[in-house]
Amino acid sequence: MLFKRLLEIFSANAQSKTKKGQLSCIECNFIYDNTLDECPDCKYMKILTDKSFDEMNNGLRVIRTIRGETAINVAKEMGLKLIELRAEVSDEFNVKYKKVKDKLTGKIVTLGDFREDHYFRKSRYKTIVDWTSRNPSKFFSPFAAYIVPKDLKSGERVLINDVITNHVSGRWNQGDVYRLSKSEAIWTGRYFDIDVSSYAIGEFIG
Amino acid sequence: MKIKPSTKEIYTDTGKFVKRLHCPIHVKWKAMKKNGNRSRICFECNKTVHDTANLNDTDVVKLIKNDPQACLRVNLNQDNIKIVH
Repeated sequence: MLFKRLLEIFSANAQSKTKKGQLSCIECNFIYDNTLDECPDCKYMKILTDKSFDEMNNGLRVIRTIRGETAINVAKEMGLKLIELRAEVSDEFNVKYKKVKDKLTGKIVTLGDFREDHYFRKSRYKTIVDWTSRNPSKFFSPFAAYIVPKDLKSGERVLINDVITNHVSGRWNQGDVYRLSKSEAIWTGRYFDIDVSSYAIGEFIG
Repeated sequence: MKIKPSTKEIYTDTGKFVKRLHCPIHVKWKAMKKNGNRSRICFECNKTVHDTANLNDTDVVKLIKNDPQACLRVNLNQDNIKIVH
């Protein structure tokens, strides 16, 4: 019954077919592998399946994030426990870049560090896009939710692969500000307490 | 030396892959025991963690070649690291 309902919902919103084995996301038109459950670009979920809810990573339960009204409504119909949050990317985040083209090979290279200018001299590399900044995060919908496993115990540490709220994961002294997209968190019983330091990128050890 | 923050992969300046940094314990550098100026000892696993701030590409490649499991520390703001995307 539930599967039939899912088919009805998703056939009404079916992704347009492209090449064999590929789909065009109905939300952002990104072309992606048909075997994936969600669009890797905008995270639009193609279908909710049971295997989405018991994934483990390094001993931590993985909390699934769903985005967009369609996926959230389906999850509600399935009776899943959700934490719905507003999903808007802060303007604070930015990553700078420059694109240069090798005059000999035609290869385009993306630079991310001002000091790399030294290596990509004008005599060989033509500037295609001079230093500029972009906010690398984007959400296709202001609606997002975490799916909370019903047996999740208060105090349990989990892994969230797609964090909804805005947290700075690192700042670089060249002006770049990175958004925390993946993080460990602790389920308090009412919300996920994001442990920013678990995936902060100011310092890497390993 | 270069690092790709999204994957935590370290490369030499010439683009040769060196190591992907991963620590499941998440121990902070400040919380480690000092072991001279270039390394610290992790109290969780008792391994030496090498600070790459004072190492050049040759040193790091040699270090990982001798011990592929060697732990490294990279700070985004150290002078000898470039960030790539």
